[in-house]
Amino acid sequence: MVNMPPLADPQAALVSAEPVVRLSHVSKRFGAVTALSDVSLEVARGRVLGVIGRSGAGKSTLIRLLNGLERPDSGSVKFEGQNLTGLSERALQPVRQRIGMIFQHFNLLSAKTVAANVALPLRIVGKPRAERNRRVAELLDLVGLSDKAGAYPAQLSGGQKQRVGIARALAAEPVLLLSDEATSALDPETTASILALLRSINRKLGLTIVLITHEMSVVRAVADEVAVMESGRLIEQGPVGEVLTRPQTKGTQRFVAAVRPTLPRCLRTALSTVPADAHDPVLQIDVLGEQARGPILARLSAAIGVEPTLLHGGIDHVQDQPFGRIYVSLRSQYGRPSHDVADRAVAFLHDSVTAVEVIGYVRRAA
Amino acid sequence: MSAGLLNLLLQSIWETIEMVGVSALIAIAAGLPLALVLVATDDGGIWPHRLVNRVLGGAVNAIRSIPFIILLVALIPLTRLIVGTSVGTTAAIVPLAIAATPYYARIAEVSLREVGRGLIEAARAMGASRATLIFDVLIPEALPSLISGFTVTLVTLIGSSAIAGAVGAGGLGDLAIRYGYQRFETNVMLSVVAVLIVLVCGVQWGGDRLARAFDRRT
Repeated sequence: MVNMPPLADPQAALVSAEPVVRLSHVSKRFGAVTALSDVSLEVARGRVLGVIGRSGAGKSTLIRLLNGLERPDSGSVKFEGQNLTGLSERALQPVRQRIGMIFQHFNLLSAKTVAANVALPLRIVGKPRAERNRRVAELLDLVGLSDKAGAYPAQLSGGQKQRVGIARALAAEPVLLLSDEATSALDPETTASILALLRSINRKLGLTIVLITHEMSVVRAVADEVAVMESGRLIEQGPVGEVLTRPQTKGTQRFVAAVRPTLPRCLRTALSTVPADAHDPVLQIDVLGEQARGPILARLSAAIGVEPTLLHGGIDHVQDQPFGRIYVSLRSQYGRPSHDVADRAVAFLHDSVTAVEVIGYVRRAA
Repeated sequence: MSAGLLNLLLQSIWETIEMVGVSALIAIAAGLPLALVLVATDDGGIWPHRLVNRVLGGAVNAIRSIPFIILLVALIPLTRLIVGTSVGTTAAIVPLAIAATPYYARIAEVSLREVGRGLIEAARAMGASRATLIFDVLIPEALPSLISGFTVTLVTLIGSSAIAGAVGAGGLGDLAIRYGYQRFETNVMLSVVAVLIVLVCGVQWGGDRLARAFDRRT
């Protein structure tokens, strides 16, 4: 197992009030291009922040500010309360030794073995050989690559390379781990295993993680909080479950759409927008947290006398919290007109779910 | 070929190896650091410094633009100053080394530039010092390519050493000119050419093998 200072240390509890990362009003331009514009955010100790955006949204620049690989034009970047903005390259070295980083293309040294790659950060901080060897063995065990210590990176698969990258990033016992599109070059199955590894490292070691990605599925899999970037601006920020169920901006909705159920084409084309005879209303219902555990459809059925039919969707989980979207059609047991059924259902559900919307009417099945 | 000529041939081979070997060692000892400084001081390098970069780059270009036969003659006063004489094998090492250093520096510079920016960035992100960047990242990652470049330099030096022979440096070039050309001893000329071919092929073969041995990229 990996040695980390115990988290319950009273001293650590004092420090933990201070966010690990604090960006205040940071702006950065490259020539005529604005990479970041007035970005402010904080990451608390032990949290996982996912920064999502399209390519060119500024997320790469953002993550490079956190370890001083880029410097802001204005605003401040603080790591554990220390302002990095004015530090020289040499003064940044000890700071960077406490921040691990993993990369989309792994960036392993091709001339060094797996063990030597993982040992490099330890040599940089001046750990003696015996301790380096012990720690490298621990780390390779943690990422499941003990048998590859003597191999060269070219002999490994993409997923194995990223595991070495993670072991290397963790070697010097960092306070913060930065992940720069770490799964973008991997296939879906490998991506899932790497994300699970990151999540377990976060839980086991209490390590704070900032990851950037262009996929909401990555954020959903590992992040506690999400920050959405568009054209250098932070357009939305909040707990993942909340942002997924209640995206406030168009930009966020586009990312969220990728991980939310949408009505399949065959059902969508069958919908009419106006209520007609022998049609049932179709509701889109979003639930989050405890709501998702309640018998909402049974209660709805009892309260207004309808038979709900599940058309599409389901309940998903993010960080053990249920959230979901379902599509149901409602048939009145009393022969009420469909618009009346729709109004009653929306009124009833309004307070017990996150969002409810009548998206159309569908011809009643025989 | 008579025993005397054979001895002469063997002696010339040795002189060529001595001239090429010593000047090649000087070229790598001076050229590699020069290449590192050129790469490091460039814009976006690990120690950007425009003035140093321009001055060194200009000096390298200046020496590289002088034809070797002219450099050989022009450097005679310097050669006298350093080794006390301007003729002989030792004297030829001075202009050979001075010509080969910027030559290898440029080749090594290209090799060092081919090391991925991502690797440099990864090492910087670990908090590596500049020395670590150079000795743990730049040089080991570029090593196969640096070796290949050194092989090219050696082959070029073998050619240049024959030119140096024209001004009394000894070696295979000298033998070919004096016996093969001026005394019309065609067999000497052919022997020298054959030895040079074998020498160049051997150097190339050895260099390729060494470069492959250090290449872990596949």
